[in-house]
Amino acid sequence: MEKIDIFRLNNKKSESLIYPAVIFIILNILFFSILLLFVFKSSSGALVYEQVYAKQIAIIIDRAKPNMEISIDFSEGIKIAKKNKLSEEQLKEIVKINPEENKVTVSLSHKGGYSFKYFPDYFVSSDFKENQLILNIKEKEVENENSE
Amino acid sequence: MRILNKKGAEKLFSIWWFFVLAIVGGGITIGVLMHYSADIDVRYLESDILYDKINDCLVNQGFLINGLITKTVDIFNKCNLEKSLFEEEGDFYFKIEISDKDNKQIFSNDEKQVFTEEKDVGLTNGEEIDKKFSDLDRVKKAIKEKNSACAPYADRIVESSNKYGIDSLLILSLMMQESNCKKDASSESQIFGFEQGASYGLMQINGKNECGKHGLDSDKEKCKNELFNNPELNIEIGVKILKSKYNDFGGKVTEEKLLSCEKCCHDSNYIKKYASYTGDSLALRGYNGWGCGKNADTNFVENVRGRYNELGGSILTSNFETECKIQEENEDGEKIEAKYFPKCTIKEENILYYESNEIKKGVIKIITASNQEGEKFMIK
Repeated sequence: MEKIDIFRLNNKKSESLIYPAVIFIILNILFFSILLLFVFKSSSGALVYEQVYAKQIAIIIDRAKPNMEISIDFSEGIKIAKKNKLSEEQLKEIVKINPEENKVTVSLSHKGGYSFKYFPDYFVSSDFKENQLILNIKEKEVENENSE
Repeated sequence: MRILNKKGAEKLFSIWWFFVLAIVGGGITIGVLMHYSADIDVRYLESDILYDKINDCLVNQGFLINGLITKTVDIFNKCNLEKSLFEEEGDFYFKIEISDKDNKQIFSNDEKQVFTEEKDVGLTNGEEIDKKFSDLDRVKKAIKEKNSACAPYADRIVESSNKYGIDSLLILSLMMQESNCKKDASSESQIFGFEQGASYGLMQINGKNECGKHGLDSDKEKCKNELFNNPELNIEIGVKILKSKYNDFGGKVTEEKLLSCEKCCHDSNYIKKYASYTGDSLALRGYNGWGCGKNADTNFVENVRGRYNELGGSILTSNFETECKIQEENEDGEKIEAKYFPKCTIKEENILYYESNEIKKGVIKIITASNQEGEKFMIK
């Protein structure tokens, strides 16, 4: 009895039929994988998180009252910053709060960042404790008196 | 049968295949880029927070802070707001209008006219805001949410509120605290009877003090019967008594006056507490009595206040998501659109305020808006 090898193409005709089909399928899979990767990269990119964090921090400050200490989970932001190869020194500077301009700036890459303003006239300082961003809210006058 | 020939295989990689892939790929890429580069709109949230901030600092337990109407208070300073963001950069805006009970404006911080286009208010055909959110609606809404047993008395509460000029929600809170809206509630017991000052009905009217007055029979049993079975009269008497308590001790109570009063509490801790009450709180304390003995509810004011806040405080209107247009006059006196704030919050609230040593009823309307756009920046 003749032995049948299912993985062996029997003649040139069948070869010419099956190879284009396989290549066609592989190319399609490749194409959609690249698209999926692009969508995933976009959704977890620095651009999105910079805006989300900047607005979130500004709104938290808007809602806050003097003498509050607020802790925000910043683990996702730190993960993205590390992925973007920010140094340890730069990691400490990913969130900047400028009380003079009432502005929160978040920068998770070397390319740029996002700024958003808060309206209360508070002195806000920020610091990182592990993956937590700690905000300290104080009245501006009190801060000035202390510094004097 | 031939499934595919050489031509068929070539068809797989035809120009149309690449065309379809390009369309699908391009569409998804453009969609994703547009979606993730779009700004997250938080302007409505900001205007809402700004409203809360301003309202919290200007209105304290239903009372307007002193000095606002006379313009001796700097709102920016008082409410911790950064002035430059409002006046120079125009990222945020607020307008405060205060009117007296006759709807006559007595204060406005800004002469600009604000025009609003209300969207999806969910109420009836373009009626005035105050008509949409009438007192009765507020009371009915509060009853529906908190205690349906009070429902039969909503109309009477509002009538008494209008007659005596007391916030209807405060009356409702008092009634809930006193009887939980049970018309046959009584504090009478074997050792605490009519003669000892037991109270009856919805507003827990003191039988010994009030029978024979306000149209009540002087006969003990008949009077009790009226207080239980005529809830309208019970509410009317309760509100009348509350109103009279606003003037207890001349509208203000001092520790000395409490010490000189025979039936009042003489414990120094409670005297200090009671002497700190003013306005509504003073009236509520007077309503419940000035004692601090075993049967006295020394936290009565706080309990009623707590219920009042739960019922929605003195919020008269709900918030509207609106489009606001703000106009101002140019050099030629023509009205021009000053700034377009696509998102704004408008709320009105009943308030009490002092004027010429008198407590008056009014309405504060606060319009807040945000037009802030975030700033993306690139490092070259």
